[in-house]
Amino acid sequence: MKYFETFLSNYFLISLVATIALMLIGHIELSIFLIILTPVIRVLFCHIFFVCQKAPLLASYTFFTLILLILSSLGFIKIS
Amino acid sequence: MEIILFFGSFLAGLIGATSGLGGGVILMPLMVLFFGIDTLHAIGASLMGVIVTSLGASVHFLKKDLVDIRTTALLETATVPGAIIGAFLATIVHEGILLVIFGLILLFSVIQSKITAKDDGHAKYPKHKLWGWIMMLLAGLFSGLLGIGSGAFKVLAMDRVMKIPFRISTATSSFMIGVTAAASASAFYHMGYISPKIVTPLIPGVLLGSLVGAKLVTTVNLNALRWIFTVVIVLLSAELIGEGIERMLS
Repeated sequence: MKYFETFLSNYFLISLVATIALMLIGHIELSIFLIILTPVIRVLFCHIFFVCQKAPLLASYTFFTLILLILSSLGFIKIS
Repeated sequence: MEIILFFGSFLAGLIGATSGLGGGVILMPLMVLFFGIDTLHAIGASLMGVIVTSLGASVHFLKKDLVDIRTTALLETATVPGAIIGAFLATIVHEGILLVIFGLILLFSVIQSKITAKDDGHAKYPKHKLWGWIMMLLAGLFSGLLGIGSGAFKVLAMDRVMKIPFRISTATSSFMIGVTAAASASAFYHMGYISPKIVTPLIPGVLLGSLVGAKLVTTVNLNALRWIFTVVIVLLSAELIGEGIERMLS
């Protein structure tokens, strides 16, 4: 679990730096996309982690959350 | 305007970090009351600030091994749908009502932050998972509705209801708010309420402000400053409620 947390913290740091860098060089839309995408990818990592840990209930919780996030990110959950 | 927005968001991040309330509760009213930005664009931009603040804070808490990732797996199944429902409600609720609700939530957050938590490091947790899940659904709803992280609600649910130790509750909440905000931010993005013009100065400002604030909290005695910020936030909530009532009546 400790290695997974270290991995997550490093991933967040890289994502944060990449987001700010994109913003500074003028790729605003891409940086917005990356900001929204980062937590989605985080849930994906969590899901894979729980699958590997053979924790089926937790894996299904994260999978459910992941599906909702992906649907929302891609605009399939329409709000008008 | 971008430079003023950068400094304004820096201040919001600083006040949010030092008062323990987070940047979102300051950012949203700042944009609506002082910059005249319309409510839905302000909510969208604030959600982006919340995600970034969460990402930054998570690094620190993950390294300190304070985040309960297993509990977040359960509770995010509540906050994410709650946030999406909240984003939907934000587009149909009158903006005056949104501002009044925001003012009341701000007051609640201030009161909740003043309550000293008793950190029970030996209690077996989490308990009352169903009630915790229901509270998380509400926390997600407020997050999507108002453009905040709902950290105060989440800490309350984990600390008081689920009996998770306070330090772990705070760290886990900080970890979770990013995912919650991402759910509603996605909806706002697709509705066209995330403006690059607003987000560009806001994100670096709030991130820098919260990093400086977090550093100040650990190195300087901030009691006097915290009380000043508390008064500022209470005045801000009164202003929001007043503005909301005015908009409802006009």
